[in-house]
Amino acid sequence: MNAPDKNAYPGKLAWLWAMPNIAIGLFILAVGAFLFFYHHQERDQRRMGLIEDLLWQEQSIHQHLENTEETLTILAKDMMQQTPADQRFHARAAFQLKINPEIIDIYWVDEHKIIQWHSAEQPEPARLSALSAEAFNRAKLMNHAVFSPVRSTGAAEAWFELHAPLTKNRNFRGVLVARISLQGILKHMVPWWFAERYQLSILDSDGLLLASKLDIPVSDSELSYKLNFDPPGYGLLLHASARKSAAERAPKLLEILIVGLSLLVLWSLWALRKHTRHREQAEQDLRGEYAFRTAMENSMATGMRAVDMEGRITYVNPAFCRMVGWSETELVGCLPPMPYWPPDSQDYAGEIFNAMLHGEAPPEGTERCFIKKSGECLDVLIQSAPLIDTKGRQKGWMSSITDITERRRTQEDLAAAYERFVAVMEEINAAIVVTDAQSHALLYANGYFKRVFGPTAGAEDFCLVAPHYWQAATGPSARIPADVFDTEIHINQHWFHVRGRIFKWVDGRTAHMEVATDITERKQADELSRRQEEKLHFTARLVTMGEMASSLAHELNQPLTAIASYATGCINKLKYGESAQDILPAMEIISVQAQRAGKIIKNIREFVKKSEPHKTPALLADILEESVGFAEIEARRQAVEIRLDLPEAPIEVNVDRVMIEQVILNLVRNGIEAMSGQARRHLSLSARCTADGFAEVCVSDSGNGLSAEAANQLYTPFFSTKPDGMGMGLNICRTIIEFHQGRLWHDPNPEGGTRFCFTLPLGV
Amino acid sequence: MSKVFIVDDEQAIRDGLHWLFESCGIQAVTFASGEAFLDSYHPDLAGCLLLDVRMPGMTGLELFERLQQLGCALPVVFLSGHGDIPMAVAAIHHGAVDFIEKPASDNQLVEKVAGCLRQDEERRQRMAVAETFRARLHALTSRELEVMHLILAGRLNKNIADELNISMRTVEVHRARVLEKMGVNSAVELAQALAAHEAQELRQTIQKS
Repeated sequence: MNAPDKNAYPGKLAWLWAMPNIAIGLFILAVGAFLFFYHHQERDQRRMGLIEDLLWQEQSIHQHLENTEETLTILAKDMMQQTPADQRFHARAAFQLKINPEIIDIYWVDEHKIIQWHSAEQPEPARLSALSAEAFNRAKLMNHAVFSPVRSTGAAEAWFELHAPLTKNRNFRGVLVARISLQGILKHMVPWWFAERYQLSILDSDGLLLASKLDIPVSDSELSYKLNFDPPGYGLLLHASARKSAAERAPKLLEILIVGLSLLVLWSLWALRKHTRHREQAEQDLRGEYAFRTAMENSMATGMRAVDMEGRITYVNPAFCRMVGWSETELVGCLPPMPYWPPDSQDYAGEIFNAMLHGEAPPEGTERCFIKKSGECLDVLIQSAPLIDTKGRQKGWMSSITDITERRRTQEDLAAAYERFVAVMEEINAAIVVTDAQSHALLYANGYFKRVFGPTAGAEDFCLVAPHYWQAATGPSARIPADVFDTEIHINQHWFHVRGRIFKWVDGRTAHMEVATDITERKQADELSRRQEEKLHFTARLVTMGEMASSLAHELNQPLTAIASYATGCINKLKYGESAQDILPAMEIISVQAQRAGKIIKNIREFVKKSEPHKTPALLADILEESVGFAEIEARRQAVEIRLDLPEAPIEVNVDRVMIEQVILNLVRNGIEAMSGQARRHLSLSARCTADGFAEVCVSDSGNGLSAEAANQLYTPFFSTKPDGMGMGLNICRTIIEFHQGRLWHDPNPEGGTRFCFTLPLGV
Repeated sequence: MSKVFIVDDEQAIRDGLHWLFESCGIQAVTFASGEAFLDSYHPDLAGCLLLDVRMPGMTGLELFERLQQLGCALPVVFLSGHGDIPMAVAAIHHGAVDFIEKPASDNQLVEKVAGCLRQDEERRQRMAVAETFRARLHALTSRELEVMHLILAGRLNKNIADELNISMRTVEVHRARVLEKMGVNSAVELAQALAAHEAQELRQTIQKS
């Protein structure tokens, strides 16, 4: 899935948002303009209607007042002609009053401004009021019906008077006055529809209200019109203001409705926007969350696989695809058996899968083998959890698959390495032991150590083979790691080659390690080979001797054969009766050959003479110490303790040092060998000066001693008590000692065993 | 005349032995080394060989092996000194007649050599007879050989004639010539002579191998 384009989207959204905003703004403007124009036009129309209606009304009233004027003029004429036609006049006047209800009173004023007659019942001042008098005068003057100004008397109705002059025979005879009520005019002359539509009122020149149709007060409507109300004139104004009717109020309601709805639309738009913003934010969050999760999924090495309740794969993450080598499209929708199940154990894989579907998979996970598309085997750990949707229903199972091939291999490698280590350490033919340098606690011991040293070493403080070497070798200044010692130790009839090393143990503390190898066999082999070598040397010597003897025999054989041949020939010839003269040359040859044989013998003696001992002065102590030094290796091997017992005064002798050393070495070896198998193995060498001017050396062993038979044959050549002995040693020894004018003998050791002694003359 | 051929590097011994054999009437020829003897060797030599085992240059044993390769049938007696007895024994195994340890006592050596000389003489005679017989066989024509084989098979002349598709007379002539050439008087003698010859040949073959 691609990451959403965060830059593109808000721009588009802004456009999307601007469109309805602009549309609604334009719509409201249009509606407002429409309403304004509509309202304006309506008002103009109404204004025109008002003016028309008012003009018509004014015309109508004007007409009516002219009619009244005419009627009153006629009435005045009639009255003058039918003098006294009271009765008739009264009736006509009453009649006029009756048909013109706005005329509230008709009265007759004579030329003296005296009211002669009065239609009204109520007493009336006989004199004319100043206002009426002015009209009276104008009527008299003009001889024409004249309207008086309006007279308004406080609470009473406002009225004006129509003064019609009475002339008789061209003589002025007073006036007939009709008093007309303004209220009456409005009441009787304005039709109902007009009153319904307009509030009609009459104002004086100062704008004061004189009368009005219906007494409902009208607010100062914007729609009103004024006309001069003439007659009666005098600055009277007819004022009509439009009344608000239901039909008139309807457009207002519509406007309100429109505005209200517009507001509602704006509000809803705002609310929608707010909601959308909210959603957008949520979506943004969700997208972020989704991207985070996708990144997480893509980055994680753990494979994820979701299956529905039937086992169909509904989801796999890239790690899983990488793991098994199949693509997402190949895997999604797969039903068991899955392509990555190993073909040879499909049934087993199916069982495990079904167990998972039934929720019986172990929570710690199942280890399984998957087969990659490439055919490789993959060890995985599968852990499953139910997949719950938002409504809380289980939709399937989500499994995490961890590749444990490497881990398992590492584990196996580690285990194998450990096994190898253990096997090697346990099977190694050497004891290996590690102890703490301070506490001497056992840190490690291999099987060999436990087998060989276990019981004895465990009982001691030191779990070591050679603890004493450590005490000598370890000091505070010891370097670490370092080889401390390398030695050979004899324990329990075995020889061990022990190497000590000081080093840092795995936890950092200083530890002592010993590696002890059983070298008994090697020692024995060495011993054997040493002996064999000695034997070989000896044999070689013998062979040389044999060869010498052989060549000697050959050398001697030649003259002897010649002699024998000649002698036999001579005998033969003598037998056959030949003379002595005949055999004389042969006899001479025999003599020569005999001399030759003698010469050979002489040569041998001279050869032997060349290897005679070479005497030099030496200290006996030096000779003994050196001889013991030679024998020490052998002695240690045989665990024989050699004790050297020398007098303080040095003893000087004149000897062939090598020969005497050979004698001592020989005696010491004999002694050591005589004690093999003995519990007590002590060999002591002692030297002293005898009274008769000899140095005496004794070698005493603690062996079994010599049997009588052995003692008798001790110096017989080729006699030996040892299985591989030559029977030459003591013989030679005696020869050497006797050559030095000394003596060699033996006697039983008082402490058991045998003592061999020899004497040497003291040096000068 | 049979002789004893003495090979020894030591002048005194050669002379001594020569003196000894001379005293007994045996002719002796001496050689100072094996190489010297090989130089003068030819197959017709008669007598026996007396070889010293230990010699500088070619040893007695080496000379013996060389002579065997050459087909020499002379009897050989070794003279062994001290220490080379095992070598002499080995030589016996390879066909030498005997060995005598130096120094030899009395006439022991002479007797042994005399025995060898006799043995060689006998051998030579046998060889000569066999050679004669072989020469006679070679003298037979192929037809005569055919006839001889059939005679030895015990056929009668008549049968031989039928088999070889020749006349009876001719068979008789062939038969007579065969007996004449082979130096025998009858078919029985012929068969005996052939049997002896074959035994001799066989013996020689065995010896050579």
